[in-house]
Parts: sequence; structure tokens; C-alpha cells
Amino acid sequence: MVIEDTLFILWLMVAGPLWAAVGLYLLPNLNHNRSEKDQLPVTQLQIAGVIGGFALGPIGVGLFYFEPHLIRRTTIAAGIIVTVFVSSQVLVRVVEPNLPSVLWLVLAGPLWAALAAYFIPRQYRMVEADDQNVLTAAALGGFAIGPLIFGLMWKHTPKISRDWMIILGSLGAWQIYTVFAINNPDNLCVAAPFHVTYLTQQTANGVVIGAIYSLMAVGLTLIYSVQGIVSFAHGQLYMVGGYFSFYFLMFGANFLSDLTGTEVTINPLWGIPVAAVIVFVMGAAFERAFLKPMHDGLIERVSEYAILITFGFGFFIEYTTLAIAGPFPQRTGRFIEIRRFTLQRTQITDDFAFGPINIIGDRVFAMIIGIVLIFALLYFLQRTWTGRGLRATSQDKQAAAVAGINPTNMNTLSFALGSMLAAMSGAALIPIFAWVPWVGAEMVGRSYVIVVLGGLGSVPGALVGGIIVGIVEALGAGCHPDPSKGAAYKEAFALVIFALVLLLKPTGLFGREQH
Amino acid sequence: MALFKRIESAIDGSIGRRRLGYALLGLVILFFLWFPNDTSQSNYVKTVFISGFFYAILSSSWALLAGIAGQFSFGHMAFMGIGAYVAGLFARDGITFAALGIALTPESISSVGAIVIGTIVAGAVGLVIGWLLLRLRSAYLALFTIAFSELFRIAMLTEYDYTGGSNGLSLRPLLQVADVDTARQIEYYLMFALLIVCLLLMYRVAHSPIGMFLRAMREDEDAASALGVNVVRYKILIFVFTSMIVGLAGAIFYSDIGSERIIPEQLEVLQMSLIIAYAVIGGMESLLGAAAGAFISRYLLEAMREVVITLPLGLTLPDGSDAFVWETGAWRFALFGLVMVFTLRYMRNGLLYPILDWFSGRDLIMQETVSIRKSDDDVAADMEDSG
Repeated sequence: MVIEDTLFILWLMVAGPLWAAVGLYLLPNLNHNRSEKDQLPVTQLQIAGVIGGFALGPIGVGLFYFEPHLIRRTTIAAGIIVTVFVSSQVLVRVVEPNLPSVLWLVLAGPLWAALAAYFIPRQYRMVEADDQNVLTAAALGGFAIGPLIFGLMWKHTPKISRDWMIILGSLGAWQIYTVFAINNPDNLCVAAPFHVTYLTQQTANGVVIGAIYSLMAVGLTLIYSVQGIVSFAHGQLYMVGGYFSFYFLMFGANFLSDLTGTEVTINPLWGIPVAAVIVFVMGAAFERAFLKPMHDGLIERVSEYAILITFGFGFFIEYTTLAIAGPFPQRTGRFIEIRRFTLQRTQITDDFAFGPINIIGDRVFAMIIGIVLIFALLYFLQRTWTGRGLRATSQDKQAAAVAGINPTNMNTLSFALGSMLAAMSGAALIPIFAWVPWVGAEMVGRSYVIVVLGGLGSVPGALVGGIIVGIVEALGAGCHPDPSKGAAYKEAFALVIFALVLLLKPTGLFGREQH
Repeated sequence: MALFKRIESAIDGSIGRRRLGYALLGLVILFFLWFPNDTSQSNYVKTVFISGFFYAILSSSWALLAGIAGQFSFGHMAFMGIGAYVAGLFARDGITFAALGIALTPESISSVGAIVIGTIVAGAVGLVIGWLLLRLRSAYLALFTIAFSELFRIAMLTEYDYTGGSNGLSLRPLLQVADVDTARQIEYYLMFALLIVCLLLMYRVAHSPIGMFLRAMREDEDAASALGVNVVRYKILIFVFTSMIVGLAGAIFYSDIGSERIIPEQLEVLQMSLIIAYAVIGGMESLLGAAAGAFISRYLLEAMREVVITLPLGLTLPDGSDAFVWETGAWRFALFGLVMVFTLRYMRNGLLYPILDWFSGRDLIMQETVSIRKSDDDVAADMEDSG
């Protein structure tokens, strides 16, 4: 690791001492607003200002100024070490190879985002304006338009509508794309004249696979909206759904072949209802045995119990499946004989052509299954008595009980239905992916991303979230400069979104505000 | 039951439970100290013990974080990995600041120095993560930490130019020992000493006023805050503290004699679930319980690799052998999961904690757990009765 001399000196000469001076001047002011006995030692403040400013720049000064309790020697020491380590790593690995454009985005964008996210909501609360969504908008704006966001949001504290988010978000996305395009001119995603086709291809792949991700996430969100818990066994139920379908198809085909004396294969479509029924029963039994006591008030600290018990259930399912099915990848036959759907190449102008775009046939079929099932679920929730009962229970348990809905049964039904949806998406995907007992662990990460992005408890949110996650994964993997690493980072792209959503807008896109 | 009561009163009447408990604990420690000198034991058993100590540290620190402080983090293994990876990368690559004229070449960094740096970086990352987590509760916190540890694992797996990818990274050994038997012995004592030190440290924290604050926050964060507990400070503090403990444990375990490489597989959610299962089975609210749970479960899981049941009375199986042999494979983990689920449902304090608690003679469970705390309805009923 050798750091480019000029750059490092520049950083040290300009930024470090400057912010150290600011910190030195600013921090002792903290004592002005404090009573006699609350006074902090001035030397300590000065040292903290210098060190914080030097190591972390404006962030350090701001942090210590507004959170003075963080001024402790341990904090400072740890902060310095991590700063030196991280900044040297960033400088060497990221900035140095493609300096000018990345510098702004990597260093300035997040910096302004952090500053805006920290200061603007304070300003809103100070003038007692409605601060809903302000944090998200400030962070997005800081990232997209830098210091200008302060000009927009500081003085007049406008009410933040969804339009703000969409505009600022797309601006930020466009910037990332531009910087990416400048730095990787040869990448397939940006190199004309193919990039439109390539991007459309990737997006289409993402939408197709995203729809089936949604199906699984809808199950998770259903459980959450009624029971208020996150099922950590969801991935394993998805996995086991695939295996039930697989074994049903295998034994069923053998049985029929023996019976008729000819070679028979069963369409994997038939595996879906079978897996659904078995897992529905499994889910209901588990809920009755282990989650019901929770609602009966037999268990304290419910949310933690729910995390652990579903986690333990998933653990049990995973290893039981491993013991029975073994670690070998399995796959069933195809849904349909059509290998791929192709949109033909069309010449639009002389030097610009669009297409061809290929989508694998089975994936399209799985997408259709996913969408049909989601709409069936929506119909069930909106139009049937039981479905309305579920929704009523999710809104207000006691009022629902008064109206003659049995909340205990609704709890069981929601868990069983949610688990069933996971199993159905498993059975819909086993013809497409190679199936191993730990396939659930990877998939469930995605559905957490989807439900948090869409808003925990929202069914339309899960649908939209699933498609967004599908697109992000496909584009991220397809556009990463190093294709092999891109495929490996596929999950990571979604997880980054996840972390950002959790930090900036935990209610997600369509989530209800927490009461 | 009557017999148990009689034994109980006999013990209370003679030496007392606590003294008996201390004596047994002393015996256990003596056993562990003596164990490597038993030449009849193979190195394999010693290796199992060593990893048992390692997992005991991880589980008991998770018990401190989740059981006592109520912070359900699934990122514990990631912090372990940060400690180990950072120590390994520092010892291998060193770090150079050309502008300052500072060059820490790999030769100038001792393996102890690398371990210290690894621990500090784990603590610093714990600081940042802990600060970010302040806003999140229960399920969201668990989800965020899962995302964090998965991101870390994927990064370690993919950046194989630096980390060696799935082949893993070998850390610089603390000690170079040529003889295999001596090496195992040294490794054994090193991990055992580390376990004792970590347990003492954590015990000190858990039984200080800080421990009380943490329990108060776990029960009701808003109430604790209203009563003057600085929630922000102690949440971050406990996160940093446990992160440093596991970072240290990771760095030392993978350094010691250079016998194991840190691999990204070690950071999977599944490994994390093992840690949690150990702690749950031992007793999530007790450090010693979680540590013992981890050690015993680890040992049993290894011992159960092959179950041999010798048939009595000279009976033979149809194939003529007199013993029933079962290669358990994944079944032992399935059984383990089942034990975990039932422990959670019916013995929320774990299987070992009640035993430890009996020796304390103070019925800590009664004080500690909330399982006997009255629900609102009961309180209301009581008030009606009295009023």
C-alpha cells in the first residue's frame, strides 16, 4: 500500500489543519450554554476539536459539537485509527486509479449527504415544521446536489412530498451512472451503440426474477402485518417447498411410470400446490405450538422470542433437509418447452439497432405464476370474509375480536399462509435454480431487503420492492467492471440498498408509520 | 423430588451450595488445566477442546450483548472476522504512508501488534455500527446486522486479490512450534487462558452498575432513559466492548500457531446461528451458562459424529455385528435445532443456567427473568382485590 504523495499531502495540508482549527475554535463554545457545574474542561474540548477536525474533518467537529458526550479519549483514539486506516484504503484502492470524477462522488457526495441528514432535520424541528421524510430527502439531496440542498431546505423548510424523493433520487442515480460511464467507457452498460439493448436486457431479466422474489416477500410481509414478527424461518420454508415439489415430482413420476408401464414425467407446475399444502400444514402446526403462547401472554419479550424461535425452526428444517436430501444440487424438469422468448433485432437508424432481447422461457412462466398468485392473494385479502378478517386483525386486534373475528385463528392463518407463499415460490423456482439445502439462506436475505424497501406489512410494497431488487441485482451484476466479481457481489447490491433504507427511511416506500 | 429436597437440605446444612459450587468450578478448571497432559488423549480431542473454548468466548459475549443488554445482533461473527482479517492483512502487507515517511513494513509489525490492531479496528467498526443501530429495535436491528455481516462476508469472498477468497487467509502465527504435540498444548493453554480472561472481563462488566443499566434498558428502554440511564452511551459501549472481545478472540484463535486459516465460510449466517444456539441452550442471560453451553454442545456435536450403540446380552444385528453404528451426518445438527426450539419454548433460561443458579443459592432466575413478572391484567386484578 503506497499512497500517492501529492494527493495525501494535499489532503493533509488543506483539509486536516483547516478543520482542526475550526474544531479548536468551535468546541470550547459548548460551555457557553451550560450551567456552572456542567462545564466541560476546556483543554479536553480543544484537544477533541483538533483531533476530531484533523482526523474526520467537518464530520468530527460536528459530531463532537452536537454530541459532546462522545468526547472521550477512547472514542478519539479509535476514531483516528479507523480514519487513517479507512482513508488510506479508500485513497489507494478507489481514488488513486481514477481520480477526478470519483473523488467528488465518493468523497463529497456521501459527505454532503451525511451533513444534510444530520443538520436539516434539526432545522426542521427547530422551526417546528413537519419533519416527515425530511431525513430521507436531505440525505438524497445532499448526495445528488451537494451543498445546494441546504439552500433549498434550510430557510423555507418546505413540506417534502414524494415528488421530491423521486426527483432527487433519480438525480443521484443519474450521477452515479455518469461517473460510472466516465470511468468505464468500455463497459457494456455504457458503450454505445449496444448499451440500450444491454440495459433493457438486464432490466427485463431483473423484472422477471423480481416478480418471483416478490411472491416470497409477500408471505413475509403478511406474517408481519398480522403478527408483528419477522419470520426468520422463511428462507428455509422456501427451500423446503422446492424439495417437496422435487420429491413429489420424482416419486409421482416413478409411481405413474410403474402403473402405466411407460415413461411419464409430471409438469413441475403440479409440484406447487403439493408444496403449498404441506408447508401450510407445517406452518400452522408450528404457529400453534410455538407462536401461540406468545400471543397468550405466556412469554415475555415477545419480539426477541419470535426472532429466536423462528430462527431455531429454520435451523431445524435446514439440517433435517440436509440429512435427508444430501448436499447435492437438484433440479426438476421444465415448465414449458420454449427455451427462450426473443424480441427480434430492429434497425432504428443506420447506426443504431435495438435488440435482440432474450428471456428464458421458464423464468417468464415463473414470473406469471408469481404475479397470478399475488393477485389471487390480493383478491383473497380484499374480497373474502376471511381475508378481510386478516386485514382487520392486522389493523386492530381488539376491535377485530369485537367484530367476531377470532384473532388466534387469524394469527395461525397468517403464519401458515405466509409460509405457504414462501413454499410456492420455492416450488416455482426449483425448475430454474439448482437446489441445495442452503439455498434458502441466500434467498431470504433478498426478501428481507424487499419487505423493508417496500415497507414491512405492505403487500403492494412487496411487489414493487421485489421488482426493484430484481432490477438492481441484474444491473449491478451485469454492469460491474469485473464480470466475475459482479456476479459474486450480486446480493451485496441489494444489501446496500437495505442498509440505506433501514437507516434513512425504516418505514420503507409504502410502510405505515410505526405507532 | 423428595430425595432431591433431602439432598438439597443436607448440602445446605453442611458445606452450603455456594461453597460446593466454587469447589466444583475449581475442579472443572483443574481438569481443564490437567487435560493436555493426559497422553492417552489424541490431538483431535484437544483440537475439539480448543475450538470449544473459542466458541465459548463467542457465545458468552453474545449472551452479554443479546441476553443481558437485549441487543439482538447477528453480526457477531462479522466482528470476529474483522479482528482476524485485519490482523492478518496488517501482518502480511503492512502499511505505508509515503508522505509522512512512515513505513510499517510487515517485518516491523509483530504478530501481537497485528492482533492489537485487529482488535481495535473491530472495536472501531463496532462503534460505527453501534451508533447507526441506535435508531433500530429488535427485528430491524437483527435484519440490519444480518445485512452487515453478509456484506462483509461477500466482500471478503470476492476481493480474493487481498483476502485469498474462499481459500482463506492465514494469519502470522504467534508462536512457531515445530513439534505438533507441544504446539497443540500451547494452543490449548492459550485459548483456555483467553477464555478465562474474557469471562472475567465480561463478568466484571455484567455485575457492575453498567450491567444493571443494561438490564434496565433491556426491560424497558424508555423507562430506563427516564430514570437517568444514558441509553445512547451504554448501548454503544456494550457494542464496542463485545466487538472488541470477539475481534480479539478471532485474531488470536486464527493466529496462535498458524494452524487454521480464516475463511469467509466462517462468517456465514449459519455459523452465527450456531453461536446463538449454544448461548440459548446454555442460558442466554448467564455468561458462564452460555460459555458452558457452547463448550458442551461443541463437544457433543463432535462426539455425535458417529453413534455406536453396543447391543447388550450378546444380541446381534441381522448382519452379525453386535453394535449398531449410525453415521449421524447432518442429523446431529437437526437434533440440535430441535433442542434449541424446545429450550426456548419451555426453558427460556437455558438448560444449564438453572443448575448454575441452584449453586448460587440466591434464586437469581427469580430476580432476573421477567417470566414471573405480572402482566398488566394481573396487576389490575390485584388492585381491584385490595381496593
